[in-house]
Amino acid sequence: MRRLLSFYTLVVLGFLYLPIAVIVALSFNKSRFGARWTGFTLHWYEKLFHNHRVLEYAWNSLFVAVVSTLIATVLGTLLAVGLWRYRFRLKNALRFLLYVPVVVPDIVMGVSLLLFFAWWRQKTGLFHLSLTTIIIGHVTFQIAYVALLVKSRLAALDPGLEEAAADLGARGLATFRYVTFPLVWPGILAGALLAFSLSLDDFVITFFTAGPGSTTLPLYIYASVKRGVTPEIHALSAILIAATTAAMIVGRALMQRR
Amino acid sequence: MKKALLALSLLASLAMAKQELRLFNWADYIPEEVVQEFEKRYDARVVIDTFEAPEAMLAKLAAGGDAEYDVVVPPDYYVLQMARQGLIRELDHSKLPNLKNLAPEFQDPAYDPGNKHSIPYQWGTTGIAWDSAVVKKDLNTWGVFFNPKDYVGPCFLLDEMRETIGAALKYLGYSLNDTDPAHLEEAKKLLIGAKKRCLGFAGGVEARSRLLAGDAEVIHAYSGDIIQVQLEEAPTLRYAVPKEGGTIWTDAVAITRRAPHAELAYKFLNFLMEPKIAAAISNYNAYATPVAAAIPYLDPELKNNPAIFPPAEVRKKLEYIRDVGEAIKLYDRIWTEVKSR
Repeated sequence: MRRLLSFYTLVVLGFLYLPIAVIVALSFNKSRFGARWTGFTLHWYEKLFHNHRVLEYAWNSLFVAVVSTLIATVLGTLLAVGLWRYRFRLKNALRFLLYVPVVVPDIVMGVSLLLFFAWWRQKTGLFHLSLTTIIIGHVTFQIAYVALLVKSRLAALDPGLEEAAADLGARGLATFRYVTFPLVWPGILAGALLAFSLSLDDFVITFFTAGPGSTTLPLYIYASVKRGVTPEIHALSAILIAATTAAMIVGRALMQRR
Repeated sequence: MKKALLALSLLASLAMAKQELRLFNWADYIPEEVVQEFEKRYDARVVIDTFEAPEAMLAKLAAGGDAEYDVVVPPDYYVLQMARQGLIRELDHSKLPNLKNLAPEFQDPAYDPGNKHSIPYQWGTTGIAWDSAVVKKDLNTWGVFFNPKDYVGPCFLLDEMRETIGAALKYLGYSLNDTDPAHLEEAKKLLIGAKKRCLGFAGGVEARSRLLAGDAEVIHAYSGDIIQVQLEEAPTLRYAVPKEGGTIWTDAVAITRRAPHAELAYKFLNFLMEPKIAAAISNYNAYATPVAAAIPYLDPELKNNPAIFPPAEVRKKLEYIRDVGEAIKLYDRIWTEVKSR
């Protein structure tokens, strides 16, 4: 039984990680066309650092992910705290609406954003498709994810704590600063990390909201598929994998310290 | 703080002062050295966005992209259609002195008479490819896909509606722009049969990978895709245009109608027709160049390669894909039926 279980674990892990291992292996392959193994090389990494075109696409991706995550984390946290602390009319409707961006297919979101931007562009001359419109698009779905994660953290919180703080003379902001925030920040951090990774690899919504000069990595990789993905892209993917893994380890370590 | 802001805004305005050229192109279709040379010479910045299918390019331009991008790279059969839709502009030939460098047959191509709206970028053919280490004979017929008697082994057809229906029409002895419903019906039957014998449909590069990996023995392929690998690492690959004939295609370069940087765009088009620049592009892509003056600068293994520059008797059998007008709906229907079978 035990053997069977460990075998099963291996199969699942292989299923999850083998495709990633293939990408990493291909980034060290001498062949430019990837179908055959022709020897080990670091050449593609060297080329990548001289390819300012691809680096620009990577920079666009990072910029969008960082900015949209910052905005969405603030807005999403405020939303969750508001929903938790106050009673108001239509609260249940709002709570339900929170799930909409999570369950609506990306393609529907993408098309509606495209139409929305086109409409506003006609009215105001603003909203030209660019990095800004991509960021707006990403924030729309990130808010929901952040709010849901923070909300679940808040749900486990004893409401008595805030009351106690109020009893001791803390005002709304002080209560949030010294009581609520320190207790829910792992939820906020988790929400931010999720929002960041969702933004970094988003393709569909980005596809519809991108304009000239705002090609992100996923868009470029998609466009490369027909002409052949170069090993430079594999090298970049390997670096991204290493970086996100490192970020996850650091994040975990930080959380455990608390 | 103020100083830092000042410095920042100064930097920003400097960056703005540099002219920007926005190019909408296939991915990995122009060598970086060529782009950098242009940036250096004209003190400009080239922003490249990429598309994966001409349909997607057209959609972006139609949705207002014709005022955002300066230069686009459409396939030949899209040029007239885009001109009709008012997405690309009529070219002012006085700004393109290098047009004289083009080979005679590209001075007045059928897809864009008189190069009124575009200049040619690269050209190539579509045919069949195989690995001579596995298939020990020379192949020269579309029958490897369409006729059980000529079948040699596992195969892939291109996942491109016009190319693939065109190949079947060619095998039947018709034009690949045929619009006769009865002829197209015959082509459909052939394709359904081929689909059963072959491993299916695939993009050019994916089919090539499967050929290299040994999963497929014969594939429907673009000339340059095969020659590029053959020269660099798989010398046993072979490419041929079947005796029934194949497709010849040209990718064109055009300036959008509302291009924000039209003057720079003209400089770019003219630059692409410089002999050494055109040669550098071909040496990178392994496709043929329409710039006759560039041929002396081509790598020798490209210059004398019949798979890249087909000899006259093969040229005669090649045909351009044309805009078939309303009949495209018939093509669409047949393609859907073939793919869903």
